[in-house]
Amino acid sequence: MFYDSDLDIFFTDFAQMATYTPQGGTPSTISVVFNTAYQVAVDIDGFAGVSGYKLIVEAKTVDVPNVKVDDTIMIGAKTFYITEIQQTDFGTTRLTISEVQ
Amino acid sequence: MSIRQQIINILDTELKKILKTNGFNTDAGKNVFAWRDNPLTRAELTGLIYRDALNRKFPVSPIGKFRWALRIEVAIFGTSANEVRAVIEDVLKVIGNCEETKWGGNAQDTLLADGDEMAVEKHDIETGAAILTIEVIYDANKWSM
Repeated sequence: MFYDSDLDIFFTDFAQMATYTPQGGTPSTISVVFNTAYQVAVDIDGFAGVSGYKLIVEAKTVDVPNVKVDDTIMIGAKTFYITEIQQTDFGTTRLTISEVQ
Repeated sequence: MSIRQQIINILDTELKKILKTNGFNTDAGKNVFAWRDNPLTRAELTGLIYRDALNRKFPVSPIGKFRWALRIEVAIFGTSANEVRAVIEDVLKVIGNCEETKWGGNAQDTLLADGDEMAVEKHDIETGAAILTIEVIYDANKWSM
């Protein structure tokens, strides 16, 4: 079982600061855990496609309660667009992000 | 060497000439692969993979010959829809050049079988792909290709 206190420890140990900006809203500083997942793109019609990866950040759901696709996350000096939202059952929201909108 | 192999060799040579220095839109000729089954890397974009997936025999052939339709699929990969469209134009130009010479005198005709099929995905970056399918019609002696 995953407890709220575990979540805090997890973010304290592994998170980095990012700026989350909802469309037309005010930026806020949140903690996110950055991750990547291997992915093959455009593997159409049995051809091999292009190797790449998904960029994923995990945030506490309380920090991004109304997150929407096309909101932005700035990590370091780079701005990413949110392309997919996946809410988990243990208080986090996984955001797939992209450099392109 | 079979006529089929000669046609494929000509295709490979001509695709590799797709370079801006040769008057094409792109440098896709730097990354041409036959039957490649592992994904291209970003450094290999724009890139092309081709395969002669089917050699279909016509039911009616000239006497003493087999008439074949060699189906060749060319997959085009790039970093944007615009880039993929530019490579499609380059590949069509190459196929047109091959058609003009009847593939080195080896073929009777070239057909653009299915036009093109294109897809674009946006993950960490934008990636696009398209497939062009052609059929090269050629005659070979009976029991050869």
